[in-house]
Amino acid sequence: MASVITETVPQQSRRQPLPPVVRGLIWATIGFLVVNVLMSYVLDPLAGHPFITNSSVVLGWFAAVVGWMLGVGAWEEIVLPSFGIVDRSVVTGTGWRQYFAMSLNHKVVGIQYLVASTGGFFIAGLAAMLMRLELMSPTMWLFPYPGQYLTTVGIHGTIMMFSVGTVALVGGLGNYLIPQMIGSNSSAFPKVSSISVWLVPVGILTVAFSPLLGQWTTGWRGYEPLAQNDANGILFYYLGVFALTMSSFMVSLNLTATVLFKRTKGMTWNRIPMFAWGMLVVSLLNIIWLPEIQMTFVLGLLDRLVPLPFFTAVGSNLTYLELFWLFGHPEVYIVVLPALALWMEIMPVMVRKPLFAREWGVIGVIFVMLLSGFVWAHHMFTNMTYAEELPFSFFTEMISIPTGLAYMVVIGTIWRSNFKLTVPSLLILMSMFNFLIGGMTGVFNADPVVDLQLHDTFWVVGHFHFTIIGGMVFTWLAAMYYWLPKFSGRTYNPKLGVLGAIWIFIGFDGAFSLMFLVGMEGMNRWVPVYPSYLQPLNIAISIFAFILGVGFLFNLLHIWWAMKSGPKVEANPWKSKSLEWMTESNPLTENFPVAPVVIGGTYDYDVDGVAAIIPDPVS
Amino acid sequence: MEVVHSNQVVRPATHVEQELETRKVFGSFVLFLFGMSVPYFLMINVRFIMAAGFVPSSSDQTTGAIEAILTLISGLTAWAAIRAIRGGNTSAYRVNLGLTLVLGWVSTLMMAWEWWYHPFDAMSHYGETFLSTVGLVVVMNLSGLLTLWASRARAKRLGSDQALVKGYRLAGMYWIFLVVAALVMYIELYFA
Repeated sequence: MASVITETVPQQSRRQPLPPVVRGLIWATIGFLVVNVLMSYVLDPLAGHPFITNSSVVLGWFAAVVGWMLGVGAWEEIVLPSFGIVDRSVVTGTGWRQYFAMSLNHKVVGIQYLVASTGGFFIAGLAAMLMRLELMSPTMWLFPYPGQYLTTVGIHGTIMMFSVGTVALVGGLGNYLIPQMIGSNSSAFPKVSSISVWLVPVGILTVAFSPLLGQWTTGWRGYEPLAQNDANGILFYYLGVFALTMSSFMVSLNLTATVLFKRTKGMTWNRIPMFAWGMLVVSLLNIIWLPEIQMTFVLGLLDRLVPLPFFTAVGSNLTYLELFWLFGHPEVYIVVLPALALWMEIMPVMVRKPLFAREWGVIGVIFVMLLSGFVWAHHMFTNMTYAEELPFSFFTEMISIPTGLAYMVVIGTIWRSNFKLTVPSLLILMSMFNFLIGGMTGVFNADPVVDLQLHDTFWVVGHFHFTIIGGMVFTWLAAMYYWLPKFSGRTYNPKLGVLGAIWIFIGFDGAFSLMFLVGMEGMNRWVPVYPSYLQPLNIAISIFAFILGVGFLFNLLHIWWAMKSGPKVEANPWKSKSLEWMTESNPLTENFPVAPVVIGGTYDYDVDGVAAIIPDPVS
Repeated sequence: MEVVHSNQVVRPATHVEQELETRKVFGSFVLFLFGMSVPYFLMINVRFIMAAGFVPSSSDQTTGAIEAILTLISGLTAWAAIRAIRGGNTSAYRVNLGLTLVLGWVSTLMMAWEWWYHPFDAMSHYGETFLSTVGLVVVMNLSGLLTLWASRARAKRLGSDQALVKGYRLAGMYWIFLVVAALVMYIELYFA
């Protein structure tokens, strides 16, 4: 029997008993209760028969996640078809309901990821506001105990890194834009992304509710044996991050396969969009390092549950740090590389000039990816001998060179160009400026002699926020404003956009540049109290942080308003040559009824004519 | 809540499309296996960090050897299943997959038994590494057994065509990957 390719045509409706999210919640509750009760009363009861024990909550959580995933749609879309029970009625809501179910439409999945990520951003942002409130006084006043402050620090960092930094640009923009950019109607494995997105709210809520199990004072690193001193909140840290990293791993497999195997005719390696290159290298990093950190977290869980002495003083108490940072440093490049790619994607359009030294931009992101695996122990200089420090210091300094290639490409592109200061281009320039500060302060940290003084001070907090927020978040906003017409067919208010950009720039740079000063003055990380001479600087930092927080809210509301009620625009307001702008703006429509054929480079703005054509359909 | 009932419009795939689809599926599978191998490499790393090459004299070599042999044979039957389905022989595929399932379950349950009744101190460096490594192998084997079961059921219900054969082959190949990984773990736990 010949192989067939199917195309779906939506037809009539019929009623479904329960919305997928509601069914997911019910099945998750049932799963948790059954397994938790089984563990805590039958298989592993403790004296006094507590309802929740360490092992019961962990296994109950896994059962809840399985129930949730099956309930939101994995049962009909994945499990039954795997066993050959093919339900031909695709359970898809219409209109806004599609966003609350499993969807095979990559654009819907992209929006789902972006919304989940934005939710995580504001939950973690709220935690940051609480932290800054606490730090306005040199003594404790908001949180009764230091452990509660540190738990808030951990929730902030964990949700930001694993549900925003790793997810927004890869899961959100990657799922939405990559198939369009390469001329495809779908990602390679639509079901993979359609189910993986539902792990993100699980992860965020697990981490956010971790205080229910008790405090944890390790921060986003989950350090063992430090966590041995804590109550049990660390369990939900491990589990929540496990869910979030599983989501990112699945998305990475899908995006890699999409870029490698779903390109349209004429989309040669030389013509792959820069954002697609960014997704490719980031996805390869994810595929290597996410399973590594997941296994590390399993070891951490076993350390607590069995318990095993893996990472304790009688075990190998630096091994957790080594295993964590093996992942942890590539992780920050996983966060930042998509941003570097987006600079190179958006700027040529803004300046109407060919992308300068495109090949060097590609080489730059590839070499950042390669070198990212050689630098991890610079997070542990205080635990090493001089001889051990040398190679890590060397590679950490060296990684600034391929990172700099992205700067060379963008600056070369905007050099002597017809530069238009739009909101996206303004935000990208801000991002480049902030990331430069982050990068330069990183060079200081790469020097062990300096790092031994600055380690665990607020200097480091300033450094990584300049790279992460400065690099990734500002670029995320730039991308949202740039592609807003694509997502909605509408545009933003330019004056409000500029206001929002300047607002967050002032708030961000004010807060985090002062952190360099307060760090050099001796303020430690991970403590809610400090010497009183540091109070004026901390008050100033907190005020700027509140300005920043409200600024992010302002931008969110502006983007939300623009998508709903902004002025309508034509299909390609930026006159971009890249393929995603050849599609309809409504996310619920098919990208390319007829597959496009790429005939030129998408950044060749010195050449008239289009980069791709839609051939006449064969009758 | 209303749902949309989709109607599937079907047209034959061109040769180029079939070739691209095959490359996509098998290429992605290689990437997936690359990621799946990382936890095993990590556990080899951890084994030598924690316990160097030490193997306790109380280690149950007999049970370990039996598990390894059963695992190896299950890999061979999976290979036979793949060969059968490539030739279009669905019933031979199901028979071989059934054998693989039986052997796989027995060896996995033996590992789980040894995990539970470990003949050495679980709190020792070797013991904690043994428990974690065998636990990893058992969990991954369970995922492989589920995949085999699903594939066998699908073959029974849907038969085989060119598109479905890819999936059947991948299920067998995944089990073979797990067999290789389990054997490597066996060697490094019982002999290294």
